[in-house]
Amino acid sequence: MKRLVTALNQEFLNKIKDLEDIEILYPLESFCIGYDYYYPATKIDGYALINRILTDDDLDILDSILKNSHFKGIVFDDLGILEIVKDLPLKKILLLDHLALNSISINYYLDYVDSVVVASDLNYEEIKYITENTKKEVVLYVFGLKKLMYSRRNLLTNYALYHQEEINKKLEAKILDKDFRIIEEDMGTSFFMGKYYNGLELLNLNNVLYYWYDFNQISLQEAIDILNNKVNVASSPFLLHDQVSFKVRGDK
Amino acid sequence: MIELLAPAGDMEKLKIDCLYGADAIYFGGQNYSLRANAKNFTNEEIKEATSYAHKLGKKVYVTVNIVFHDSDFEGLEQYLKFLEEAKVDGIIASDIAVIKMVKVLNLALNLCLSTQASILNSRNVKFWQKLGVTRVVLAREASRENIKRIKEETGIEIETFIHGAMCTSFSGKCVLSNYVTKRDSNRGGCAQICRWDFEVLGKPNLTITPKDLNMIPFIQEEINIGVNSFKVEGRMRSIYYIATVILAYRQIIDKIKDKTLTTGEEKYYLNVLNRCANRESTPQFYDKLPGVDEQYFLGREELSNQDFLGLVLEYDKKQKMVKIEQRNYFQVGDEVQFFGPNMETFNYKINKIYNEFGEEITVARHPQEIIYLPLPKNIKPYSMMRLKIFDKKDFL
Repeated sequence: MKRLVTALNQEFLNKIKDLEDIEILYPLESFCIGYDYYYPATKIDGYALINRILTDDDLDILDSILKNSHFKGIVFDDLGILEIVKDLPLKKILLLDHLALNSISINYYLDYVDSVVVASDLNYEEIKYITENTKKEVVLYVFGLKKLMYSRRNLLTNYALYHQEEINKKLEAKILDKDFRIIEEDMGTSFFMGKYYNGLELLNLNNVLYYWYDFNQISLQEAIDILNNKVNVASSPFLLHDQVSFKVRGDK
Repeated sequence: MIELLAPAGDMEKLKIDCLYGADAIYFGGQNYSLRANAKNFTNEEIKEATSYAHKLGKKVYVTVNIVFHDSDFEGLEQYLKFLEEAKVDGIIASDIAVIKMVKVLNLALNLCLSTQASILNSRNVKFWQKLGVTRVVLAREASRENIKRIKEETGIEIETFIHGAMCTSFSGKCVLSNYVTKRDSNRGGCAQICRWDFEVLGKPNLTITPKDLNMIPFIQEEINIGVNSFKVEGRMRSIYYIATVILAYRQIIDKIKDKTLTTGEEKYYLNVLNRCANRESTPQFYDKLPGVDEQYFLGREELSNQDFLGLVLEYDKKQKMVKIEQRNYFQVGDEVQFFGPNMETFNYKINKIYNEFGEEITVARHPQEIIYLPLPKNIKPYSMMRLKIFDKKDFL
């Protein structure tokens, strides 16, 4: 079982270095949003995470970083990155948050990349179907602070300015019985589920390149416990056992 | 060719779009469209709408823009073939599977990439161009510099939103609705959680609602940069909203082409547009990062109005009498305005009102009742009567 683990701090990395079958995913400084710890390219020897929506100016800078990097691979959201990494010897994993929702589309994307992260907005049966019908191994998001929304706006700063309160870049909020964690950075604001996403039941699925443990906003010990199959934090399967509603086939 | 692209939630709105100056109209069918709760178009209506629009020289784009789950593909191939047969000009899609299917089936449908793809750079555009996409709707977060570079480096047709509601999130990057209500935002069920209040312990509620978008100050600049299509949001809005917005942008674009648009007129149109939406609007991301002034706080701060008084059904030239379907309360003595396609908006004071039996009344109080007003000027069906709030001459 190969696990892809988002890096917390150096102490965390020291503690898990002896664990087997682990690849480290480092949120790349300036090209990532929503994390506790970011790493400059020079400190990354595993996978780099690039989850921002990028402009051409961003890509010009990233192009130069990637050409001089020693990354094993990248996990990325913006398809524009494909253009600058096509000739680089990197493992390419497409993230496409919320958009990699079916096996047909994922198979098309797999023509361009080594693997795709299956969206964690699906239920168990849908994810299982995808793993059984994709032509390459996929990445499954099995644990982490589940991102619900990414805004380019500085929403917490605006809120504080309007109410003349002290600016706090982290906030907890609630709608009905649903909790949120909100983190603002220069490049925007991320909304997360209050509880951690727990998709550890997906560990029994096959055709998987990596099971992704996306550690963020969690203590070192809690993270290490989870890697040892002990979950000591409040967690939720999100929609793993649910059907969401919408209207695709009309009967109006 | 600069295209003014208008939304249609049903046939009546499509006709209003066409009459009020849209060059092209977009709408969804009963399936696969992100406004699942709009009335939308049946297949028969898609044929009728396309034929109607084409006769007037307008283009038609159909949204096939949900993000598919595996169980949603049933019937898609037949639907895309139907759209080709119906001779729609193109589809707006976000899922690579839809775009590939159009190409594999070799269908004569132009492919427009939806704003759900959140595009801010030219390399991303090139990826989709290679798949056959000929037009992109950029992310609403695109700045002037982003748009300029994308145009320069790809030459692709660019469609940008110029008016209407904004997502707080990058479009396509939000599942707040799925989390709070189990309604899938990326398949048309968005519950608009970004319009709700978030409770914060010991602090004021957090609100994250953006004001609407309006690009009036930058239309000229966007034309110069090479934007091809100006898109208005609002498939679920009223005919009054659509008529007002499309007419305003039609006149703005035409006046820009003629180099006759004045700052006073810009100000007038802005007032009219904000009033009809009941909301404030700003250019948002084009020229700067939106800040505290580009959002709503303390709830929606929307004041509902009843400005839309009636829809013109016909005009009797002999009697000099206009037949109106009432939409909101009005009475003798009210100062109103008539506006519509291919006419100058004019003011009018109501002196007499007749009901459908020819009886003189003083008040029109029943929605959709038929009313007759003496009116000296000829006026065409689908023109509208509204309360006189702004007078253009005050802005000149």
